[in-house]
Amino acid sequence: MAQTINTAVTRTDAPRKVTGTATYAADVLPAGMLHGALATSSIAVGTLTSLDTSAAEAEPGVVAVLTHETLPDYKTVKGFYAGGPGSASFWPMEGPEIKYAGQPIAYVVAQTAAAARRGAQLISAEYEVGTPNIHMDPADSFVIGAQGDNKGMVTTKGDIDAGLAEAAQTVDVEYTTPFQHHNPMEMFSATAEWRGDRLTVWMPSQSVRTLRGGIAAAYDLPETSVRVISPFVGGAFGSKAGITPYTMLTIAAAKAVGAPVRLIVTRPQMYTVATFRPESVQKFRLGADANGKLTAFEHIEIAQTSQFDAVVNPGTHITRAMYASPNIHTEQRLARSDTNTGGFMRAPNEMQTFFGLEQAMDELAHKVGVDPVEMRRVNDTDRHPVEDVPFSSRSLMECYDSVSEGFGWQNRTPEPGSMTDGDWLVGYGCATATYPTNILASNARVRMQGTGNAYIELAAHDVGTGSYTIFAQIAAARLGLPVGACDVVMGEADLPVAPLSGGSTTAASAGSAVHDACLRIARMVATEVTARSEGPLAGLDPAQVTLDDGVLRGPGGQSQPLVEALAATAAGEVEAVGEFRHPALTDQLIRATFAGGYGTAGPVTPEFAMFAFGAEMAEVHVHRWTHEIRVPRLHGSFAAGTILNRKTAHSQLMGGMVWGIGSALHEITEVDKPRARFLNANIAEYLIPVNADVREVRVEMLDEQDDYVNPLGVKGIGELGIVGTAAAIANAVHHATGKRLRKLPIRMSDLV
Amino acid sequence: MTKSSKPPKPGLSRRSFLGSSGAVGAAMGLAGSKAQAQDAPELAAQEQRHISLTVNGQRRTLGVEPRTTLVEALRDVLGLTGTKIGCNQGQCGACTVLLDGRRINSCLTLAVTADGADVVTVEGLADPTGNLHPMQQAFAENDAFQCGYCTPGQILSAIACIDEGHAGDAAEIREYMSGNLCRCGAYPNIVAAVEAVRDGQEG
Ligand code: FES
Ligand code: FES
Repeated sequence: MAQTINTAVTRTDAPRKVTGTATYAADVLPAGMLHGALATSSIAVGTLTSLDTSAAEAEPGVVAVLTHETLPDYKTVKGFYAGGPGSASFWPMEGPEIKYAGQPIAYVVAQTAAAARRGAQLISAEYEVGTPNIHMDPADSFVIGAQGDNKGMVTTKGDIDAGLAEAAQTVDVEYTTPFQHHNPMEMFSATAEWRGDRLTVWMPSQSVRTLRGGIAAAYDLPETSVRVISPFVGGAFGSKAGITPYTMLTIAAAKAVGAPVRLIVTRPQMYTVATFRPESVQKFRLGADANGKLTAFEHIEIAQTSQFDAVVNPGTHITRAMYASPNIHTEQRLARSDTNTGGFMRAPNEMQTFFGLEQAMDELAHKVGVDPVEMRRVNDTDRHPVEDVPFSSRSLMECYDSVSEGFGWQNRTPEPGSMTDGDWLVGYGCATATYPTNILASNARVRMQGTGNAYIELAAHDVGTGSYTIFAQIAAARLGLPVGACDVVMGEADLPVAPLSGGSTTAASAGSAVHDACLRIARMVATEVTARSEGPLAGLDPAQVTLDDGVLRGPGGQSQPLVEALAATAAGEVEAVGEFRHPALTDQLIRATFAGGYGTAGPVTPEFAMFAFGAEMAEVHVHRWTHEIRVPRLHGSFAAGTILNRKTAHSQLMGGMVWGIGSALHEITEVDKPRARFLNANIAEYLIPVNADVREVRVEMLDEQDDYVNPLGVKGIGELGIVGTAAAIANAVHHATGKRLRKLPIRMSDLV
Repeated sequence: MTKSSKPPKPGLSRRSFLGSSGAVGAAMGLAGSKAQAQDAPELAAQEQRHISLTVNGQRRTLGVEPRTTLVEALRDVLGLTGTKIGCNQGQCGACTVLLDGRRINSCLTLAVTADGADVVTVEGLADPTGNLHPMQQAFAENDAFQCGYCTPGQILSAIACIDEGHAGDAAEIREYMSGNLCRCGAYPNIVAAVEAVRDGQEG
């Protein structure tokens, strides 16, 4: 059997994706389906005093208009950060209160999507208007942990002031990052169909079990009465994890009208009815000796949150793991403002914090007068600087060496503005990337047939990450079958438990469960064939039979391909449920995942700190006269344990780096301050990279072995690529121009 | 404040509304059966027009409202859901189809204006035996997508990009493919796929 792991395998779902036959949630058309549309509030804070729905009701094709007065009842559930399945803890249309701009105030059901949208436009509302603040006030920040206490949110090691006092050079700097929106290309949608007390919901989801659990709780239904289906997801990036108000409203509307209802949220509404990346301030005080070695490391992150949830994405937990320092102080703080609750957006703890950290390191290197790569080298560490456990594997400097060579870092002259190309100022910048290895419990069922097929089933998701393909590869490698003979079924809540697809966990955790199921199959088949009177393994002790790339091997050199052995059994078919339960997973964490939550262990366990690492280098050209900023080259070298599929992994890392270009140069959700509204709420004015913005993006994946993280040795890569990019570009802009830009995104107007 | 503390609106209190939903269901039964009619499926809440167009080589007659967009007619009336909606306002290119050989945003095109036109969607690219179009093959091989949602639009745009003569070099491809957004960031692989097909056609 040809090696299938760590090779470049074309996606098994590619034929469906290129022919338009991959079924996304909004592609289903249940018979008799009606269309929903949301009307949303034009104010941010206040109370609805009247809602006139008569014009909407009179609109031809409109079937019903639901308001907080007419909506069927359901129980509301807690938001994700409060330990619940919701995208936020506040549920609109429970009453007349308005807590954020663009909050749903009415739900129109009509015979066509156009009639529903027209109906929504015809609703007029009057409000008692309050005074909103959309921006947080960093001066009014506080410390709160996920459980409502401060546990782990403040870290102190040594004496930060003493460390700063003894430093040869210090930096005391502040970076700011804006509100950003995920903007997956697939619009948010929900389709609900009731048949008596049984409910089916089609919705693009990163966590079908979270959805099912929350919906069942809201409607007092047994989970067995609720189907949640999401076979293909058109990008998620963190935006499709929890149950959103529009999901619940669509289910309620379908119940009210007695027909299936589909809602496709409009692109502008996508900015307010779900989560986003909160704005943040990153404060750093660093000190270094004359060689660049850190004497003090302080990072205080202040991130925005809503009035009704505490969005804790602890970036300081990641930054404090990067570099050795005898004196460390970190604080994780929040400040409230009048928005819907934010959430996790691709590299939720890392994008904004590494924009800060990796520029601060660059600033300090510049002051000390050491090369920025050397700055990272002298501060590299093989033990977690705060938790004092070793890294399970850490190949940061190998990544720097690899990327430096391919990029030509040695051609960099240190002085800012010293490199030019005609009218273009040229800058080289580098930055560290990392992503924690999160560990979650998972199950997976594998059914294998002696005819040479296997079926892999689990409630995991392929949000573009390649899960369909890598699960087939894992099964193929273990069972000794071609990848094409391994069929993967996912995206349904009824399938065996798999974790939420977020935090770069699916390949590592769910993949390990697939691996385990295959080992169990081998054991079952070995037990049966060793008990038979004939066959190459007959009479052996099954405990002595091992599985090696699809072949069962006895202690004396006897062997039989697993598929042949299976064909010789009575049933000719076997199935097993595999489990992944890392020793670091407590009962409580396992229970949380099985209840549809996010029971993650890591990245630090009592034994090890688990992180993937990378190093990125950007070449930036800034036009001397127009200040236009271009990124002709972006290189990254990454070490993330076993790479399961070199083709899809390359795409994941490349896509992350393209996201980083967006964060660096394009992305910001602008606000209308007096009215606390998001202004550029569409995909033309909220700029994301287009094809012409992306030139050379080079990705190297280093070999790295890590036997601790999971049996496959896999660390997540979905978010790693974005983490260092914005800082690498900002550092390159500084190198090109001498201007230090501490606010995202970097625009040509900042260089004038 | 809770829902029940508000006085119910006349005619649309929760209780009376649920009482009236039978009528809604009946009305929908009608719309549902219309939508299932084979020869002339319809999508209409009000006055409708009948149009006839060629979709992927097949003559189709359907009823639409004047305001129905081509993408909604393709997806909701003809059930051709391969064409995607990424913004519904002409900004992303996910809905790209070929209309009389030219790439257009089908969310910005009213179905009635496509009366008599020849439309090609992603479903019409593979040959009848299922052999993929070279552009589909190149997208698959080059991993020119991740989630796949922008892909039908990208593929049709890419075919048109070459036909228009705008695939001379990578820079030109990047420029002429910039109307098709890909949030997964597959752009370098999309360019590689277009180059591969262009070179195949030349060779
Ligand atoms: S859906 Fe038509 S351009 Fe976006
Ligand atoms: S492949 Fe996901 S948007 Fe392009």
